[in-house]
Amino acid sequence: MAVAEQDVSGRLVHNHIDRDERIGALFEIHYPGLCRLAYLIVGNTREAEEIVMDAFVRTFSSWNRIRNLDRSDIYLRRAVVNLSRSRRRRRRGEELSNAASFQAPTWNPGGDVEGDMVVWDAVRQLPRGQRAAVVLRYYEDLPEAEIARLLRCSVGTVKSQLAKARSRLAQHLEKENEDV
Amino acid sequence: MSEPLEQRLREGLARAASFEPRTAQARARFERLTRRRRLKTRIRTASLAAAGATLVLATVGGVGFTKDIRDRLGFGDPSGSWSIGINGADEDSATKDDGGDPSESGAGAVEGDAKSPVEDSNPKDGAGAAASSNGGSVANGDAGAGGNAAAGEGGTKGTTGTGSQGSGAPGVTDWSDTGLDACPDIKESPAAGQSTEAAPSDEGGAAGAPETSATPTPSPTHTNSCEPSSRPIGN
Repeated sequence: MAVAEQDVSGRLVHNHIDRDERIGALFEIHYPGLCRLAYLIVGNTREAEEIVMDAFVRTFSSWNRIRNLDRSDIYLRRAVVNLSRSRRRRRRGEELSNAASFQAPTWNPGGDVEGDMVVWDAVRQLPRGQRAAVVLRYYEDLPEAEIARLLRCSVGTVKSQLAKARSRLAQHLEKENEDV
Repeated sequence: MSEPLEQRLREGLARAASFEPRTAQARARFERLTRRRRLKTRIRTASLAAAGATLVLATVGGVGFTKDIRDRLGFGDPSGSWSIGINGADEDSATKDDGGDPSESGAGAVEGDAKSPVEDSNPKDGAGAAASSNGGSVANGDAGAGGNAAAGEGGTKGTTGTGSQGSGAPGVTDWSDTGLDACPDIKESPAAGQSTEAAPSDEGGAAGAPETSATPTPSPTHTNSCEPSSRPIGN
């Protein structure tokens, strides 16, 4: 599929029709997963929805600047992760205005529901940086090098963040077990 | 970290994320958001187009306005049947203006402008001459300075042509103002002071007499009277 042409200056010029089609396909395929990813980082469904929508709009607006359109999903994921880490909490009114458009997560029956809830509560108490590293490592199953690229930091920083996160999670889960 | 904890993390995160977002609603919202952006682009484009259209309209309007002015001044439509009147002086101009060199021709209007006879007058010329006009109006009749108040066809005021103000020095026919070629025959016109008597024009009949021949004769375009035998110049 011809996705782009080059003008005289060598700059990529993309067909707008192709852009709309591809953005639409990306939305259908990746929107749910990106919402889940954002939710795991920010811990709020409405904020997660706003983040993912913002990421798609930014991708739409900067479509002509994306060099490798075949990896536009990576661009989207990076936008979601960065927005999730940096986005401040919106005002309450803004959150409520979009409350109806996002379905609250429901716990699937089966398995160790209580145990999973404990783990999730422990993750939510992590700082956002550590939480992002944990989610990308244990939910997205990304290697540390890819996590470093997404978080725009060194691999050492990722390892450090993951180590700190695991330590805190271990302490939290151990405390939970003692309480039980 | 122990392997069980990693496993618990994977399972816990997967369960926490086991919900289904409302993609359809979000997609509709995304379409709305991007439609606004597309609309902004269209508005921007439309603004540029409107600016261009305004420029075009202004240009066309300017041309039209200019044409109107040109018409009023008698310089419009060179293919028209009416000609440009020159040196047609009114009474005031005949008495007040010096009229230039008396030795020069007291040439009046060559042709009155039937459409705007007043504007045919050139006070500076003051040449005791009146316009002989095809389809002349009262204004042409008033322009009887120099006594040559030959009413144009249909003119009703010929009496003013008997005025004595024509004693003013005849004006110099400034052909350069008209853009017309100089007519050497003009120099044969009477000198100053000789233009006090009204003289009937060829077409306008006697001064003061209503024109009876109602058939206007279209004047040739830019009749600069290079054919003086057919038209009286001044007196």
